[in-house]
Amino acid sequence: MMSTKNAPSLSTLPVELIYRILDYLDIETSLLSFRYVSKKFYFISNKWNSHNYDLSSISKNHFDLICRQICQEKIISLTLSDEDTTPGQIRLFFSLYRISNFPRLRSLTLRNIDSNDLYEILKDIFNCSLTTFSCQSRGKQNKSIIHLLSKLIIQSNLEILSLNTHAHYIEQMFKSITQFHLIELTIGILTFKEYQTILQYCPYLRVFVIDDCWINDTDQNSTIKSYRQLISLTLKSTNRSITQLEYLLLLTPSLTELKLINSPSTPNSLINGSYWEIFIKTKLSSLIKFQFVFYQLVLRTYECNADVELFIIPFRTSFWIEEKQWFVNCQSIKSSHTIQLYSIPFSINSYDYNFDLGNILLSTSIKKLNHSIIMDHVRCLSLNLTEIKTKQVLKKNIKRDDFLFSKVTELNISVHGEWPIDSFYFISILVDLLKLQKLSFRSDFEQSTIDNLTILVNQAFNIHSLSLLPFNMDEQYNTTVTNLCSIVSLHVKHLTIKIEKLEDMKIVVKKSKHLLSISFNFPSDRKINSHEMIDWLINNGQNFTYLENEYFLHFWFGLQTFT
Amino acid sequence: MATTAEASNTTTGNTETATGKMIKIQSNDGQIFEVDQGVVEQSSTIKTLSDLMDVGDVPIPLPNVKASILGPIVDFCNHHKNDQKPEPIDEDDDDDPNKDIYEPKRSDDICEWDLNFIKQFTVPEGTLFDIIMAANYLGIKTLLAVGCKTIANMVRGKSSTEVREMFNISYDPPGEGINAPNAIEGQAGTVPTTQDANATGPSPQPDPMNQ
Repeated sequence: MMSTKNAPSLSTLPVELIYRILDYLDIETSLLSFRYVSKKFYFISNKWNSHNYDLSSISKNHFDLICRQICQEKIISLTLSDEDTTPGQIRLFFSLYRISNFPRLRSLTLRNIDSNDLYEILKDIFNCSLTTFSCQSRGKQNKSIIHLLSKLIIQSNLEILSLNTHAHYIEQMFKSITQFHLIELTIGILTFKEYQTILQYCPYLRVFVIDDCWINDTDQNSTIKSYRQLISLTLKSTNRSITQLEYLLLLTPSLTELKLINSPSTPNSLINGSYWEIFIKTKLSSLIKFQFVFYQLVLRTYECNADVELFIIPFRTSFWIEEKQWFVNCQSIKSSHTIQLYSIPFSINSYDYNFDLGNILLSTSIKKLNHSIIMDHVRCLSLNLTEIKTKQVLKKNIKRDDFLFSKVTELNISVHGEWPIDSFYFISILVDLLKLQKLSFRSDFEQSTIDNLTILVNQAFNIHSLSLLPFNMDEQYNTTVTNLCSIVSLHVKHLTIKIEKLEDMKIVVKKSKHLLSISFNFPSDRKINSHEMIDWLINNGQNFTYLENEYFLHFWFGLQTFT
Repeated sequence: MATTAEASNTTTGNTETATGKMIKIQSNDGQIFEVDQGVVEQSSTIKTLSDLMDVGDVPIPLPNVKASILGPIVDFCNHHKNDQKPEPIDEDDDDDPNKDIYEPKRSDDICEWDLNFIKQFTVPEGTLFDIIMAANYLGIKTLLAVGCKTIANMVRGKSSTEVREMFNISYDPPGEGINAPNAIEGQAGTVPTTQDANATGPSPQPDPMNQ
């Protein structure tokens, strides 16, 4: 037996290696746990000066503790969020600290920030030397914000910029730039003119992602210029035709990576292997990586492989199979009259699972690939359990060598009516329950559904976020809020639930004291005075922040003190 | 007496490199391993020594690494020798306030092979720390990252009490042994002040993650 008396241990590692470990730790663990392990770690942690503060999924209790310990000159990266699990965080943070007092801050990420809050932060941001700025805002981005963003881009050394843009102001942001160091840009909607402007004024831009590619002002009569700096382009949710995309792609002939995701509802099909082969050979000759998900609505039902083969056969040439080694899957989805053709592996992180025996799946891959490898990038899976037929059918069609979607952490389930008898078996084939972190459930919430869902939530004990909403959002639950609270296990930390009256909110808060955040959904036809709820919480001495938007009231709780 | 281990080809089965040049390295307990340029390129220490010394057939001594650790390291480097090389990053200026460090380092991206590789090293036997220190000494950044990420993944979300139990660390009172403030500050430098006086208290007593 090996002696462990003088074996090296964590406490004997040199300081520089402890720093490396701290670099990989989240700020909660490093500041609130690791630091207190021993005196040595305490001093090392205090000296460590490369803090990455990602507060986007932190409890309010820990947020308050960390805010008391912030050393502003050590923070190099800061992520704040007003999303469902931390509503009101951004305003709270900036009521304590000014962004201009973080001298080493290089990266700032603001998720779901209110436009007014963004405006206030941007006014104060110009002393920072940011190289990365990522911002998803809600509410209207007015001209004042665009002006400040433009000023930020001009005055800073930004290399990575990510913005959700809902208005066509982008050109204003970029037109006065002469020397701009941007390397990566992610943007929401923009026009073709704006697209050209960006390429023109960003000579170092290498990676460009457009989240909603609805560019519709391509002028095919104008002179085409080439911008050879760009090597990676991603166009998501595009509804453009092949011809329009061709015009767009001609601007960037040096692409080595191209990702195209078209909108499932688009009338414009991009499924044309022969076209893409010729276009890539002649216009994008440097392309190494081509990822795509194409959809096409079809008028009739495809009953046999030969029908679907027509779509996939152009992707079986030596260009696709041998030269580029780009393999595709093609599936006809009977219920939605859709053809889905995608490069392997599937390159989107969410997938709508459709269980229909009539679906036909063909592949150009020479070797048979494990389904979990094909779906390796999928993290969010949506399925309608009502579609399940019988266990015999499932056994016949699915081989149990691995979970079909082995990396999924977020599951969206809908059930209409009674809980289908084979649901557990079905779910256990699709995903690893122990990897689930978020579960969204839409149902009428019959008693059988509540009982089975309770079992499911208890088994999937890493779920921290649970959403329980009616199958039809305009309708009510077939049960009481008290019954729904029985589903919320102790490991669940966030709950989204629909309420009919103020009293329902109080019941949920009192019955689920372990929750760190709650999102209440109001019925669209009923007025609920949120101030009454807020006053009630204040009068009960609760520590919380809140956000109200549209039909939701979100709360982020510190330690609850209800007795 | 030195023994020779044929570890270089166990993983990939390759016998030739681009240059075909093979180099011998010797562990501190005398075992000799023959490695090719693909392995040498991954270790800045071995590369520097082989560049500086015209070693010929003489093994390069690695006095800080024993054979039971060096063997798996050679396996690791053999497995990764055809990986795409990352863009070079200068890691020597960590204290430069103007350095553009902006991306939080991820620890959830260890590949399947590396996960299985690191499982053979344990905390109770101390081999997990042996491999980390050997990777640091040999300048193998990818292996060092795998080791540090593994520790970070073990620690993440745990309370300080749980970390002490997991790594068999006794809570030593302030002012004694290697945790004495003077000894520690010798390694970590002086304790910085923070905006909030409560941020660096005199003693690490609380355990907020347990609250």
